[in-house]
Amino acid sequence: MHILILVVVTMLISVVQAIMPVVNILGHAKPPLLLGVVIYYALGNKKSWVIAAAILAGLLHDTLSHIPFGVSSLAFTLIGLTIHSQQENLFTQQWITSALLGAVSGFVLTVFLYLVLVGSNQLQMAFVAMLVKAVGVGLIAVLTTPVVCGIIRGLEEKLGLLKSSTGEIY
Amino acid sequence: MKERGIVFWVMLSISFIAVLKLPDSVTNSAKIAARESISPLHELVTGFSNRVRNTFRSIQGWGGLVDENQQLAREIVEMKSQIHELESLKTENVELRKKLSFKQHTKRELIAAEVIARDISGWWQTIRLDKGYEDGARKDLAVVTDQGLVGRVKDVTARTCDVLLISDPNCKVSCIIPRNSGFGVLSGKGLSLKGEVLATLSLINRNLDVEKHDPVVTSGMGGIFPKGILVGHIEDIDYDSSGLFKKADILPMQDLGSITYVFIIASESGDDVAPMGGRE
Repeated sequence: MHILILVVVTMLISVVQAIMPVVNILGHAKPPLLLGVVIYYALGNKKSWVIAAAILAGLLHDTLSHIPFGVSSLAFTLIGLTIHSQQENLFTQQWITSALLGAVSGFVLTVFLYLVLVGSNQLQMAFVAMLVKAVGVGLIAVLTTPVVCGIIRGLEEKLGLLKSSTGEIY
Repeated sequence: MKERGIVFWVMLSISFIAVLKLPDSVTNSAKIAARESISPLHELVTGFSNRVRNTFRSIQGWGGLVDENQQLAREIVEMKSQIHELESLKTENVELRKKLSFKQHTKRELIAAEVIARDISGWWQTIRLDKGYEDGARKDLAVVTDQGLVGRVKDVTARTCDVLLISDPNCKVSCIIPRNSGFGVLSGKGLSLKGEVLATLSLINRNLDVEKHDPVVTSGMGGIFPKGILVGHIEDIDYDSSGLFKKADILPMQDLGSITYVFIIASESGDDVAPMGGRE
């Protein structure tokens, strides 16, 4: 059941991210909703769930864009496992934690993808424009990551898959 | 315990390297299969979001309906007069063509399509349409609206296709300035922070008289975009860095950020079809 929730939610969120417009004033940043899924699983789950969520989110991200297959999965997995390794040092149930992690991860993800895409001659973009975009993605992630985490947590609680007090999966 | 950790990281690294090194044909097939399986969900969510947006728009625009009605009525009258004028021109044109033994040119065949998504990553200027090769969409077909050129089909699956917009730096269009028959190459430069499309017409003959507000249309050269589709108007003129050519900033006719319906030009016969786009 839990894997079904992961697949369905990730697919739905990828579709919503695809239809959402870019925020022009923030360097044409797109709300990083899929990153929110990875952060949610990285904050309260086992390593295997983090990897599963990161690979699925990454493959969907690459499928619905022109990014080479596997690049986003690699980025999401590295971000997810880094956050997971710091689980014990974080207030994992606090919205501010997911907001701040979303901001930092959004910035890092944008820089990583830019370096890969420019390095492989698949993108033409000035470095300054990328920096504006990376800051923009980080700012939007402050708002979107807690919302995405809240939605998945709420759904898992409703379906009885989560101990609401600890955030652990049954 | 430490050994298990090392094995885990090695296995994970090997898996990623294997996926990243897959040949393009394999990854493209996987992408197409995944995109196809998601497309019904895409259409469902897009349809729902469009309905919500239209509801909000109708509520917001309730007070302005009278003004909108008057404006539409004015446009209908203007268009009717234009139709009459065009009909007389068509009759005259048919007569002249017969006299000159020109071949009868067929009209462009258009495939109406709805925009169901945009690039999920935000790195490229692309849109996804709800029409694929089952509907007649093919790679490199031109995509237009009633206001002018939008872009060209980049990737096609059975039920969807991706369109590279003219605002993308990878989209190059051979254009002509009808007033002086000057050629140039249009390149996208993305969007400004206000969301305006940025595009430049380069390699214009430096001796040509180019003026602000001159319309720019496709030249038909290059084999992708049919001749005579309105692209935009000249906004600013300057010499390029070498000083050998002029370059001009172009303001496209189409607001690419808000388009919801477009047309794919499915077939093109003849080389002298009527110009499309624009409301002038």
